[in-house]
Amino acid sequence: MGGCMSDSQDTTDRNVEREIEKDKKQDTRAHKLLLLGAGGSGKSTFFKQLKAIHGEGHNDREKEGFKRQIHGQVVESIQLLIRQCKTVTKDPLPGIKDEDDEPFGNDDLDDARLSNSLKVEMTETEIAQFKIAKEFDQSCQYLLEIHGSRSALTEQLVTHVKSLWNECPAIQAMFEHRNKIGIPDSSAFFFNDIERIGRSDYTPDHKDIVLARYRTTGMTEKEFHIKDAVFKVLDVGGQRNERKKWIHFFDGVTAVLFVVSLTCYDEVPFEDVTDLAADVTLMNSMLESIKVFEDTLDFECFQKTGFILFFNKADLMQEKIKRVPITNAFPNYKGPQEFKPSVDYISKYFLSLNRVPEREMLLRFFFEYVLFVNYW
Amino acid sequence: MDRIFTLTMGFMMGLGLDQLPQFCMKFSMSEATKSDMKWLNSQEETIHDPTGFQYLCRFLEVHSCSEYVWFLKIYLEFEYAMSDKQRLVIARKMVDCCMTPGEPFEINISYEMREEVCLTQRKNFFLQCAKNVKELNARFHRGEEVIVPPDMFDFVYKEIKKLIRDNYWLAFEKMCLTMSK
Repeated sequence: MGGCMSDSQDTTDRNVEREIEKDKKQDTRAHKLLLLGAGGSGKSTFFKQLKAIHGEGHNDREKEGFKRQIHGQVVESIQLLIRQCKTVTKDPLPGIKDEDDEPFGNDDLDDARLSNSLKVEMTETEIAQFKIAKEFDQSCQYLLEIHGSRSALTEQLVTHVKSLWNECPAIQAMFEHRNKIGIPDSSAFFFNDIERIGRSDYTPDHKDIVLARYRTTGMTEKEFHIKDAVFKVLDVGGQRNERKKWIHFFDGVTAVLFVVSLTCYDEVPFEDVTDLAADVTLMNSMLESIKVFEDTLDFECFQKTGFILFFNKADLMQEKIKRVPITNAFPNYKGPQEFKPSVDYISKYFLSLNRVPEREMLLRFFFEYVLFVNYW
Repeated sequence: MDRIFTLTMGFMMGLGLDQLPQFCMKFSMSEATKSDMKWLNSQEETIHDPTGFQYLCRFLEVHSCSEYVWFLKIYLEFEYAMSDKQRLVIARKMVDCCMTPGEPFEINISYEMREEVCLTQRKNFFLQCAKNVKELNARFHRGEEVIVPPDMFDFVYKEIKKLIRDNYWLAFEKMCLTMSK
């Protein structure tokens, strides 16, 4: 066959082979690290940190993008809080119904939505705490009419958000249930700092960038040069539909960085978020994390791959554990409702899922975006 | 005509005869690039421009986001549909392909959004009608009109645009601009 090929074809073949060899050599030189974990565990936050510390940081265009995301997060979070308050108290949503626009009228859809979302049994007093006072009607209407992801924070918008967040007890009460309605913890930080982030000359700082929350989709990879080593880090989405794609990145992985949020033991997974009626003992993101971790460990290609377990949001867990016990996700836990024994139990539980003793497993903890080998 | 304008412009800018050819070349190249990628101005324009859309699809596929390519293709098909009957079939395809949990091209949207689409569907008996083409045709012939709201996927489309924007828009813009240089 080779005899039939012309010299130029031979040369081209050799060049292609040389290129492939070169790529292979480059690939083996880099350590491939795969960031895995359930949705909202903090994989992309870790990725952003890596980029800021070991990469080239974030340029002005990226910062502009983060600014847009933060503004979007503020508007969407406040809209969600208002909508949930209105749903629980069965108040009509002001100003968003336009019957001329709806060929069928939205009444039936609204009825269906209400009947779907009010499975929760609450006493009158409990419901009353979510009742938004009449004086905030204008703010609610203004905010609900905005398309969240597109809005820049105008002066008027900042005023409305500020007044609702600081003066409306119903919004604060609903925010306490953020674990059930899918509002990120970091939204409180942005609400509290709304005047700063609403300024026209606002540029997000490192903390803002790290706290900005958006769902990662697909796969992003980046090379980091740390001392003499080259690390190729792959960041992926963590929601259920995204996890189907993971298997395509499993080839040649040096280590898996599995990220677990320590606070997610009472949080409803993104795909199941409905309303306050959600039962977090039946399904929560910690149970989902455990399942994902077990499934990942079982992959044939990972039998000899090292795992680094990152326990994220330890600082938030220190606060949460005072209010919510981990028995939501770990009903067999009998220890005290304190940070150290609870984290001990969770980490041991995760380690016990490894059924291959020769596989290397490391534990790391994140406090306020700082990595610790241990948490005491 | 363009060349004459460019030459005149160079002349008016005080460039010498020896500088004019280089100026014309630079100017026309940059203009060509700009006009070639006009769609890069916004996501909306990219999606609705045939070339821009091809670029975006390729980019999303490389980043393991084929489901959005499918969603956008079906969405555009739905948007350009001429009748309720067409929309009905496309809507069914959209739900089956991109909005059913566990399907290969399932998109990353919330339960609430999925439910909203399903509610609209139930309201309009899409599923029952589209299950059987014969039955569907018979219903149409009997004059039992099914009205499919042309904007029923708009809020999902907005969400998908947001996801693409948050994750990839800057990288996509950068890639296009690098390619055009």
